[in-house]
Amino acid sequence: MPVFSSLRRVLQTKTSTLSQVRNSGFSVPGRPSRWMYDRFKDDLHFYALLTGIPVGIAITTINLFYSNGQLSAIPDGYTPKEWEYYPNPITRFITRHFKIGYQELYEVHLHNMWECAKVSEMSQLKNEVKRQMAMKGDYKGWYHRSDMAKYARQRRAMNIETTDSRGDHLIDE
Amino acid sequence: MAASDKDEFPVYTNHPVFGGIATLGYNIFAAPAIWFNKKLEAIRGEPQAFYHRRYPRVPTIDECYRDDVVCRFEANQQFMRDKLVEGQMIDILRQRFNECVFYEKGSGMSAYVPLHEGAPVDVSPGSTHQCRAVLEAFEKANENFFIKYGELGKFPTAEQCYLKQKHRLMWERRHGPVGTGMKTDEPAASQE
Repeated sequence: MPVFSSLRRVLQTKTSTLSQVRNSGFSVPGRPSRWMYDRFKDDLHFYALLTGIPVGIAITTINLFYSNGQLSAIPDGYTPKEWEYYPNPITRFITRHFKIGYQELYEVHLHNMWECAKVSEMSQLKNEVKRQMAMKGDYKGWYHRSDMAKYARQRRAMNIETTDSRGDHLIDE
Repeated sequence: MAASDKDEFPVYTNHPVFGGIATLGYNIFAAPAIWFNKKLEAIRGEPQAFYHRRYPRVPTIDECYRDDVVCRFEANQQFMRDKLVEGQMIDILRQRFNECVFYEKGSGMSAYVPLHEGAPVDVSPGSTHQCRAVLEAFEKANENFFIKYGELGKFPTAEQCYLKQKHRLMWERRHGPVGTGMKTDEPAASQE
């Protein structure tokens, strides 16, 4: 039980009766309370070991009785799953249910890089076109603003809906 | 059982002076752990296979287009892995040389040579000792490692390494093999 303050009496080496002076009728001189310190230690031990003991027992049991990894050659034509790269059963469990493997992260990162490179190339192209148009000043360029397309699409959808419901005042149907 | 244990742990248990102490240490520390492990092996059950990661080869940096970021990234990653692997290879060769010298040098005070005086075995150039071949292999590999990866910094890139090779080839084209000195610039003398 992690109530080590109860062992204090056993471990006490210093007696407070050594430094007695005339003390208004009390034999032991007053001293500050140790209650808060003892209570803190008790709480610390209790709450740490409340989960510490079960988890420690579980980890010890699994490592002693269920952990039997053997390094083997990868069979031909077989791609091991991500958790099959680790020997410890707890690591395998966490990797299988809660983790994304390095291979997937790597390939997703490659795709993100490709996407960002595409966006960057398009931006470079636009800037080059602007530069060319600004150099000569002889081309009537229609500039492209990609953020206006959203509102244009919304407006077009609205137009189609109102025409469907109310009709077009120019077309006689 | 005792004989087979000593076969498993043969280090110095048959030494004339320290054999007893080695056996005592083995019996106190290693034997209980080995017994405990054997008892658990019976309970544990079937071994579960785990594997080491294999990285397939991808095109190197000289086979990538300039604006193919994916190819360049993968070439760079492969380059970093290759650097680690080749560093480990150099370590193995160095260990081999150290072990060869340690095995060949003999024992006693005559074999004790301070580090700055070289190896206690004759590994000078031209020696026919078997450790000389091991040392030559290690030094050649070390030199090649430095040619490829040296002086590129703590975090080199594949592009830096590739261009280092290009600069070396250009330098060799102008001045001859590395180590034979630089040629001075004398266009006037050649025109005359």
